[in-house]
Amino acid sequence: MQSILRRRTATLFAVTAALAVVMCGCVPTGPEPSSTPSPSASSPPFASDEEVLAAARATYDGYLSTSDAIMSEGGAHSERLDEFVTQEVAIVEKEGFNALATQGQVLRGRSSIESMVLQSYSPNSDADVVAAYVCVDVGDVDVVDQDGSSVVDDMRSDQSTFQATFDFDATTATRLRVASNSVWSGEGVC
Amino acid sequence: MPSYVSPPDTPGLCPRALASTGKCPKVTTETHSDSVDVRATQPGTLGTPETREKGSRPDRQTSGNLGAAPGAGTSPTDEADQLWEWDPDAYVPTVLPDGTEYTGDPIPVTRGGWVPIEPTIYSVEPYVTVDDLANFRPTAGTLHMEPDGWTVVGLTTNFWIYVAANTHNGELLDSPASVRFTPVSYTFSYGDSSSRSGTDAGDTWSSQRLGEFDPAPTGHIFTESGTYNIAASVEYSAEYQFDGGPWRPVVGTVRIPTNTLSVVAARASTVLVDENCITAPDGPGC
Repeated sequence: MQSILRRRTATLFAVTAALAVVMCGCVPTGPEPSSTPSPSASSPPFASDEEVLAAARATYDGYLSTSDAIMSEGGAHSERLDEFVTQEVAIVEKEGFNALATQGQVLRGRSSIESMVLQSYSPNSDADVVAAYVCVDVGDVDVVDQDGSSVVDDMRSDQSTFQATFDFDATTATRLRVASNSVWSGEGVC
Repeated sequence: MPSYVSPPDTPGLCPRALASTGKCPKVTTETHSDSVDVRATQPGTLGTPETREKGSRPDRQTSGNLGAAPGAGTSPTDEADQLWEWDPDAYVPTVLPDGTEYTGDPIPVTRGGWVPIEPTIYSVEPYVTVDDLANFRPTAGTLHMEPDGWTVVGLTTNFWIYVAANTHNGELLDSPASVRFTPVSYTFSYGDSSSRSGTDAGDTWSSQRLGEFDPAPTGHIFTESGTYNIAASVEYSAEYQFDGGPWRPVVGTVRIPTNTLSVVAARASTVLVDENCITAPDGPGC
């Protein structure tokens, strides 16, 4: 009991008193606990779910904003996307950018993350380390052709939910890359 | 069950170019006891059913979505579409009431926990048959003969069809597509109750380095004098292509008739008597 309080002072400070009352008698006292087990050599250095979600969000945000920028510039400099996604995703995304540009279509506005929820975090692999649900808002986004007419589908909703997975890559700024991003039909995210 | 369409060999992905315009493919699934019906409202691309291993023992489970104390025997709060199974060997960290992980000593070993099941992923492509090709008609072949319009009883009359593969654009399953028709067989009907079907369209005698009236694979010998109406048709296989995607086969074939020809067959002596090689230098035997 006392040892727990010493190790976790920073995080448990606010509830220390309450915990002491609750835990008294419920936890056997004993010798000093062993130190927090260190992660295995191959596991990514995310110390908490909050840190994972923050990294995933930063990666996904870069993916959205860079895709929008590329499509607003007629597909120019699509290599800007490379740092946020896996190679497989980059290939498919760039085909999409080219298709838009070939038809003379340009994106206006910006997509944004309305909310993001962590689904799972599996630190013992580099592929699909993180899975998350993302609510993406495209209410401000329009795609127009050379006449200035919108080519957005009549049925497009302002918000859609996606399930995204991320691979670990120590060389990128966020240490994650978007590995998949599929439409998700469940509720509760947007 | 799965609810998306993915390109082959790439992860499930609705590209931003499609998502921005609201054109992500939509798939609905209807699950039965041992099968699932998957319907796509937009064409996808071909893949093979892919089974992933069930989730192995996780090192950590995210807090907040599980909804129950681990090992309590109750299932986690279901995320819609996320399936879970009980793994009696899974190690689940003990979570304190405030949501933090208990790491005191001794660490209670909790065995058994809920692990997420990875879905079986199916990629979908439309199943296209010739019945779906109402908006597409192949270019018909043209029927030819030599001699032209007349022949000699007992000798071979040569017939052939000129036709090539042809491609047409139109709407297939409510989307713009190209359909390519390729001839696969040819049928000749000689008007005397005989006919021939095969994979040879035939050609002129000279193209086959044959002489006039020489036997030819698509030729026919009339045994009675008279006037005969010759008909023919071409059977085509088809392939379809959406938006510059890969060519995919259409199930079934289409048969399209050619023009018809009329031929007068007469006995050799009759023909020779009517003409000679000065007035009809192209006549038989000249």
